[in-house]
Amino acid sequence: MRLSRPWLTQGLRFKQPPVPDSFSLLETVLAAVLLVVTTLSTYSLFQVNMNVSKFSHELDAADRELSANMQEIRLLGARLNWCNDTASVSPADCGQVLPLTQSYYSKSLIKKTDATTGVDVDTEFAKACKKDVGLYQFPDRFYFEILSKDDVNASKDPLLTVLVKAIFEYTSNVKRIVLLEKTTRRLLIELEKSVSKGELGGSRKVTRYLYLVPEVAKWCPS
Amino acid sequence: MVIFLLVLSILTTTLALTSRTTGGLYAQSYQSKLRLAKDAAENGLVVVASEFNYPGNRRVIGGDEGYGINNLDVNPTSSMWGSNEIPPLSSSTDYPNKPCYVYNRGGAIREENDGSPNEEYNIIYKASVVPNRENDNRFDGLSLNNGRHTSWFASIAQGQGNDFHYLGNNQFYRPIALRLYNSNHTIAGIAVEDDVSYLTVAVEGFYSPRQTLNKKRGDIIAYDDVSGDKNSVKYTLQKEFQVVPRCCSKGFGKVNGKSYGPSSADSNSCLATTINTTTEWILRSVSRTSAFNSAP
Repeated sequence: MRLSRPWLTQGLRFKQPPVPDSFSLLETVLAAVLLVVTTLSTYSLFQVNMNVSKFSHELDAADRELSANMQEIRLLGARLNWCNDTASVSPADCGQVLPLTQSYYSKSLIKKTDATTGVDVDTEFAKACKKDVGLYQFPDRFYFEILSKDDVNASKDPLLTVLVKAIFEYTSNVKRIVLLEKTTRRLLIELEKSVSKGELGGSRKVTRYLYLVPEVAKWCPS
Repeated sequence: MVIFLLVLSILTTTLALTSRTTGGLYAQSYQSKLRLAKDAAENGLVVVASEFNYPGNRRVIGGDEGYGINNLDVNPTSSMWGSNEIPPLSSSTDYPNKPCYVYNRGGAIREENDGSPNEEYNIIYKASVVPNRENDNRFDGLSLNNGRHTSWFASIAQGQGNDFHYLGNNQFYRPIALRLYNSNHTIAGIAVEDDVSYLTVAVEGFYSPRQTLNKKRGDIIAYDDVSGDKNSVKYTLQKEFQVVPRCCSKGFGKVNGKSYGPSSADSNSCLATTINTTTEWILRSVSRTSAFNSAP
């Protein structure tokens, strides 16, 4: 006879609770390893990101440094003047007067009367303006003369000598200065700065070009 | 489940970090490109201004008032030197006013590949207006003298495929507008010899590294090539120069009696000087500067 309520005679039966077996242990270990690997990967990625970010900041800093250099070189070009028969980038040499000001010179820059002969002769400024300008022939118009710090020579162009020297002395970031055009004294100044990639290895160069025409060159009669 | 959530959390954090870093890198890169484009515009302004100050170009924006605006005035045949060579001023065998001459047939600036002068485009000042979205005629503006160009380096492009000039270092420029004003800052068609004038020059600077393959400094590139380059950055600058007339070979002197330099020669009567010279116009100092955005 089948009892309608068997637990009354058989007692209550409960399912056994799960107990750790070998497979479950492996799962936990794998999870731990995975967690460690993931953490290490995240840390590594974070480090790479930090390095790249740092490198990017250094590139940006180099870029801004070169921009500041360019602005200072522009000021040097604006300050280049001619006083006491020589060029100078120091405003003090010309009584704080710049070529940009209208009353730049109070005496003739072009001709002066020779005290002995009484004849008008070219001033040193006029001679400097003509120096090495040569013929205005078009094949020679773009005169790619590279001016290095060790090659600054007044015999080449007395107007530019002081400026080129001052630029090289101002910053070591100037790679080269090229005289592109003689008559108007158009210069191309190439600035370059290397940035190390640090732990990434190697380096990268940041390059900037600056075209510059010193204001004083406009006062040349030629 | 907990581990899954943990890993998901780590991945989310990693992605967020990467996104933040990448965004920062892009921003810095764009700022750097923008600085390069600005430098290109600055350099372009220097080139354009020095082109106007180059012997042979110094008379292209000026002339005698009595002649009005015409070819003879802007590009005077009477002062035109017959070759592409202007002798040095110091030579006793040459006329002293030859550096003031305008070059014959436009070979002064524009050259063919073999170095011979390009005679198709004469050197001529061409007034223009600052471009904007509403102005379809943005490259032409006030047309003088059959739309011929000022110079190769200072010309307003007109679909000749010579729009942008390569400066080196992935940088290009092109002048987009010239406008001349008289001393009262009202628009003028020509610079006069008895007063100062003002010339505004607007230049677009481009940083476009994808366009520089096999390019050398001075090469030209079409506008369409640059404008479609999504990797390029543009910056526009406008500067105003004071245009001072003076007697050629005399340096800065008087302008209608007012002193603009040490020379006693007056730009209004250069032919009356001891050695007859002609009037020339020099872009001297920057009086005003502005930067603005313009649509690609």
